[in-house]
Amino acid sequence: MADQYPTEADKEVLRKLGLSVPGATTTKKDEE
Amino acid sequence: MAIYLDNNVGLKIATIDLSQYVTSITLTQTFDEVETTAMSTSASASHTYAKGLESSTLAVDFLNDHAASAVQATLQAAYGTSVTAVVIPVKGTAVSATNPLYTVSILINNLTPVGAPGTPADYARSSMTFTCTSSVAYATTGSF
Repeated sequence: MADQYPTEADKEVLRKLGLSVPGATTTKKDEE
Repeated sequence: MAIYLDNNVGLKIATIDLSQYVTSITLTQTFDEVETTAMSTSASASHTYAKGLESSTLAVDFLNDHAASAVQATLQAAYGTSVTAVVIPVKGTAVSATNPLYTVSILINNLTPVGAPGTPADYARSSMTFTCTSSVAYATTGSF
């Protein structure tokens, strides 16, 4: 397991499920 | 930790804890045996082999649940990709040498969302074996 956990593939699953993604930042544009 | 009841294994797939849906789980660590038998081997000698690439598998039986972020939604979202599976023998107990953590990438290459066992008397279940796409990382520190 050389990749950092959670991996990008893990995060994509969380995005598809509408769950919060670790390390994700909310920008002002996202909030609009 | 001594011997333990096999009723509290923890499983996370893509960071989502699916333990409450697992009825059976088997992580099989294995690797290819690559033949290294060469010329000049005496007739009484045997074939020789060396460790090749790891080819482990993770077999899981789930109780089906199609609710949001439950087992089927998670697996459908991961279908066709390699995601991280984390397994611990006793969930709720700290990771240690006597309760190690296993982390591995698995290819979600098969799903059985409807069917098994498919009898009216049973709760709906899924039984799948996933191919590991990384070596199995064994850790005695960290968290589930």
